[in-house]
Amino acid sequence: MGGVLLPGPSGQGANPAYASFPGKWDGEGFQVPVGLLRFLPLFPDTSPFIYFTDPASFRNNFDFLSTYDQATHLGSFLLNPARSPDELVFKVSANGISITDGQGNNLMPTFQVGTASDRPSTSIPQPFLPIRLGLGPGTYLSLGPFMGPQGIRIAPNPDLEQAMKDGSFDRCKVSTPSPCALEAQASFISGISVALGFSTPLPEIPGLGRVYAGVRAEGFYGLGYAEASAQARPTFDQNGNPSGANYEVRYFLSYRGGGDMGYGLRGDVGVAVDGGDWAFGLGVQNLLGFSQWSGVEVTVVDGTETARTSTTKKSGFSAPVFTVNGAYRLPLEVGALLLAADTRFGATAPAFHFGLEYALGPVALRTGLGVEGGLRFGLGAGLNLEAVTLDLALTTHQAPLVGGTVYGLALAVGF
Amino acid sequence: MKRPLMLAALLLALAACSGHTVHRIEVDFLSFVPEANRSGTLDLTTAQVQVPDDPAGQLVPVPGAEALLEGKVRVKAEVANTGTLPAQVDLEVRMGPEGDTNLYDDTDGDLEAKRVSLTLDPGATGTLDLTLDLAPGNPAFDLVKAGSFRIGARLNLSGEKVDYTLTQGEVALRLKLFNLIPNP
Repeated sequence: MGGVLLPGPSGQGANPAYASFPGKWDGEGFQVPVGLLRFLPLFPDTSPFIYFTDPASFRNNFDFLSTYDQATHLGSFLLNPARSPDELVFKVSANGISITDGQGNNLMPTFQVGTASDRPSTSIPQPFLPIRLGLGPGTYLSLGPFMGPQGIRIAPNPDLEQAMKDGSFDRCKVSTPSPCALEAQASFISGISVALGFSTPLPEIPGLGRVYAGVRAEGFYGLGYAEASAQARPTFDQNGNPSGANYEVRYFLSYRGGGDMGYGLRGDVGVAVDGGDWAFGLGVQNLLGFSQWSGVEVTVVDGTETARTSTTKKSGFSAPVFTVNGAYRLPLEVGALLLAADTRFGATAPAFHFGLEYALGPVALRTGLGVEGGLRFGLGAGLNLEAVTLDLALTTHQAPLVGGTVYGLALAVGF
Repeated sequence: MKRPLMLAALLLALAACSGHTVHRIEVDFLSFVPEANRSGTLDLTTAQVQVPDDPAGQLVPVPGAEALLEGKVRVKAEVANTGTLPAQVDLEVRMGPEGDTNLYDDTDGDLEAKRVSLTLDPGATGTLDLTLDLAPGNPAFDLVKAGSFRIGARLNLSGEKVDYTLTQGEVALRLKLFNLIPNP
C-alpha cells in the first residue's frame, strides 16, 4: 500500500501502544528481504563480491549507485536500480566549471537520506530479527542486533550552488579560503538493542472505542559508530584562475575492538484508538533520551593528518520523532475497501503515505502513494489462505542522484 | 593507515560512478591565456615562436594515467599574410618523455606529434587547424600513459610577415576511473 504504516503490532517500533493492539488491520506477514538476492555474483552491477570472484567483470559492470539503491531497499528486488550515467562531462575554463551528463543535462551533486548530523542520536535503526520475551500481561523484553546508516548527505553550499548555476566562479574568489564548498556528511551505527515495553488496553470510552496506551524504554550497547564530514573548497592562483581544491576531512570513530565505549537509552510513548471500523494512533519516539560514544576524532587537511584527539560525543536530551497513522474500513456491497494513511515528522526527514486496499474473499488488491525522500508509488496483491498469507507488491521509488522511477518486487509471507 | 585512507578517498570519488561510466574532462586552456598574448606577428626578425619558450617544453604530470582511454588536443589559429611575398606557416606540436631537455632535437625520445602547414599569398588569410588524437597505438598516447610527459608547440614562418591569432585551444581526455581499482 505504498509503504503505509497500518495500525497494529507491526507498527510498535513507531508507537509502543500497538504492542497490545489487535492485529486486524495489519495482516501482512514477514517481509522477505528479497533485495539480498541482488548481492549474489549473478548480478554483476550490484554484487560487490564479484570484485573477489571476477575483478575484470567488476571493473566493467559494477555500479556503486545501483548497489547503494538496492542496499537501501532490501525489502524489494529492484528491477531497474538507479544507474550511474554512462558519461560525466567536466568542462573547465577560466570562467568556471560545469558538470553535465553525456546529454548535456546539469548534474548538481545534491543527495540526502535520513538526517545527517554531527553528533550521535538515540534513534537507532530497527533491530534485525529481535528475540522477544513476554514478561506478563502487556509487558515484554526484546533483544536484537542493529546496524545501519543514520544519514548521508552530499550538497554544494549556497555559494557554490549559485556559482554553478551562474556558470561563473567570481563569487568564490572574494576571500581565501573560498566561501564556496562542496560538503558531505555520513554516519553509521551498530550495536545491540534491549527494549522493555509495556502496553495495555484502557477501559472502553463510550462513543469512541477502546483506547490503548504504551511506553517503551530502549537501551543500546554500542559496537561501533563512525561519523565523517568532508569539505572541498576551490583554490585560485594570483590571476584568479582555478588551481585546484583544498580538502578538509574530519571523522570520528568509536568501536569495541579499539577499547572505545558507546551506549544510549531513550523513552518512547504512544496511544492508539480502535473504533471498530476505524483506528488511529499517535506515537512519540525519543521523547527523552541520551547517548554517548567515546572514541577518536581525526582531522585531515589536504591528505595530512593535522589533529587526532580522544573525545566523547554526546547526543541531545530530547529529539522527538512523531508518527500519526490511521485506517478506515468501508464495507461495500461486494467486498470491502480499506483506506489508510500515515505521516512522520519531528527530528527526522518528513514522510507521508496514503494507501487503498480492496478485499474480496481471500484476495486483496492494493495501491498506494507516498513521499519519503522522493515520490513512491505501490501496487500489490495478497492471498489470505487458512494456513498462510502471501503478499506480492510492485514498489516504486525515486532514483537517488540521477532521478527517474525505480521499480521493484516485494514479497511478504505470514503463517 | 595510508592505503585504507587512499582507498576510501578513491571510493568517495567513485560514488555515483560505475564500471560503465566514462569521465570526460574538457579543458579550455586558451581561456587561461591573457587576451593580449593570444595574437602577435611573425616576421623576418622573429620567424619562429615556441610555446613555452623553454626548449624542454612544459612538464605535464598525469596522475591516474592508467585510467586514460583516449584524448584529443585541438588548436586553431587565424593567420593573415600582411607582407608582400607568399608565406608558408607551420604549426607543430612536439612531445617527449619526462627526462628530455630539448623537445626539438629528435633525440632522447621526443617526437613530432602533429604538424599542419598553410601557404598564403600576400593579403590572404587562412586557418591553421590542428587536431591531435591520442588513441591506443599512437606514440603520443604512450607518452601520456607513462604518467608524465613534456609538450611544446612551435610556429614557423618561411616568408616575410604574418599576423596570427589563436582562436581555440582545448584538451579533452576520456578517463575510466574504475581502471584505477587495484586487484584484490
